[in-house]
Formats: sequence, C-alpha cells, structure tokens
Amino acid sequence: MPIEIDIHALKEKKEDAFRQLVNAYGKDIFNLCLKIIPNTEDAEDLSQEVFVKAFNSIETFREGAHIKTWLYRIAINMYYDHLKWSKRKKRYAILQPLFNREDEPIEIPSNFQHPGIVLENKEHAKVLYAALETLPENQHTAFLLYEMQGMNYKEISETMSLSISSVEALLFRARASLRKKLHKYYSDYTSLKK
Amino acid sequence: METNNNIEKDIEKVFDAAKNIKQADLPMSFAEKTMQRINSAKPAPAVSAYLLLKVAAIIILVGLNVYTISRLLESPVQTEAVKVSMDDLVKDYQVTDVSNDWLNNKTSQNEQP
Repeated sequence: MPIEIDIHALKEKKEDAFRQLVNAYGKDIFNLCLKIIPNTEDAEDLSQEVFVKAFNSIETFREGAHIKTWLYRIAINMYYDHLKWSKRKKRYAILQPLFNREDEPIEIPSNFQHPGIVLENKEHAKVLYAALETLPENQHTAFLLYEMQGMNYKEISETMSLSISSVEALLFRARASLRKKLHKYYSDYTSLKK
Repeated sequence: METNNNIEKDIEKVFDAAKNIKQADLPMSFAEKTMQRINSAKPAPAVSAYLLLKVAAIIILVGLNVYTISRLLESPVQTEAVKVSMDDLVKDYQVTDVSNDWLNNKTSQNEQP
C-alpha cells in the first residue's frame, strides 16, 4: 500500500512532513544504503545524509514522480560522489582514470558488517560486495537494484533515468562481468590453497 | 574438472547471497538523529525576528522625530518685530516735551565758568 506523503508540506519544508517522510522511507533507504556500503554505521550516516539532501533540494522534486524513487536516486548519486571523493584521496589518484575499473582485482573489505546477512552466507556476500566494487558505476547500480533490492526494470529505469532496454543491457553486462571476475578470484584462491 | 565445478558452485553461492540479504532493522533513534541533522542543516534566516524588531523601533523613532520637526517648522513662533520709534518711546514714558533743550541748557550751564 503506497504511503501518502504531503508533497506541498514537504516543499514548504515543514518539519512534521519530513518526520513523516523519514518514518515512512527510513527503513527502505537504510537498507538500500546497507547494500551500497555493507557497514551499519556508514550506511546509517549515508541514509541520514540522503534525507538532509532531500530537505535541501525538495524544490527540485517533480510532482507526480514517486518520492521513493527520488530518494533512491539521491542515495545512489551520493554514493557515487563518496566513491569519487574516496578514490581521489588514494595515492596516485591522477593515474586512476587511465585504468579501466573492470580490471581492478577483487579486494575483500575489512569493515564488512551487514546485519541482514546470515553467517553461512557471510563469506560469499563479502566476495560479492568486493566484486561489485570493481564494476562500472551504472552496472553496479543496476545489479544492486535488481538482484539485491528486488526492484523491477521499470522502477530501475526511473531511478537511473534510463530506458528499460538500457537497464536490461546493463544487467546482462554486470552479470557477465561478475561471473568472469568471480571465476578468476576463485581460481586464484583454489591455486593458492593447493 | 572437479575444481571447475567447485568454482561454479561458489559463483552460484555468491549470486544467491545477493538475493538472500534480509531487511535490517533501523538503528535506534534513527528518525530523531535524522531530524536533528535536518534541523542543523537548515540555513539560518537572513533577517532574524530580533533584528526586524530593532529596525522597526529605529524607523518609528526617526519617523516621530521627523514629524515633530516638520510640525515645528509649519507653525513658527510669532516674533513681533520691535519697531521702537522716538514717538512710541515718548508715549510709553509719558514725556511731555520732546525737545532736548533742557539737556542742552544743562550742558551749556555746566560750560559756564
């Protein structure tokens, strides 16, 4: 059942309306952020920033659009910004654009702490998140929204401002690329164990 | 061959892990913290109510002063021109003889040895 949010009150920046928005979509946004950053504290921080950004730019929200899709788009754009910023911080950042992101090796994150992942899936989930990090941004997003967030093509196309066929193509490439990377990762892992 | 099968199984498990992520509960007081951040992100009003009150008080004071000054200029104090002629003086002091002979006489008497 869709949640009724008073868009006019939001545009007038009324506190009660924003409280209602946070209560209605806080969990969805937090869980999306957890899928982007598998760490509770960072995901909480990012999801709070999403609502602050929404507050500051609510006048750009087009009436008739879905507020949840709009919030998802903010979350994803903020993650891209965060990614660019953290990459810039790395040494030799000037050389980064010279290399294709797809050639990056899979690096298992050290601060992995996702409350929605059961222990038996944890190791595979870690590998998944690490592999996703090496995908191009749009493939990463399409895979995340479809496979992990359970959104359909139409919702993804609205969130990413793309056509449905583009979303399908991105998903196809993301799966193929992931499979290739995972194959290499597990081959190296197996040969190391021997 | 067996190694390849194991790798494929691992890859499938990774894809399954993507689909089997459960919804996590919101951290404690998430809404409160978010509202605090929203409130602290609010831009400070360009003109505060206190400043508006001060400006209004100054405008009222200046207005009152201007009004008072303009009223004073519109109705100037009637200052009678003082035109004192010799005749008025005579009339006022009830001098009967306007001539100054007695004065001259006196002077002439004083001049006598």
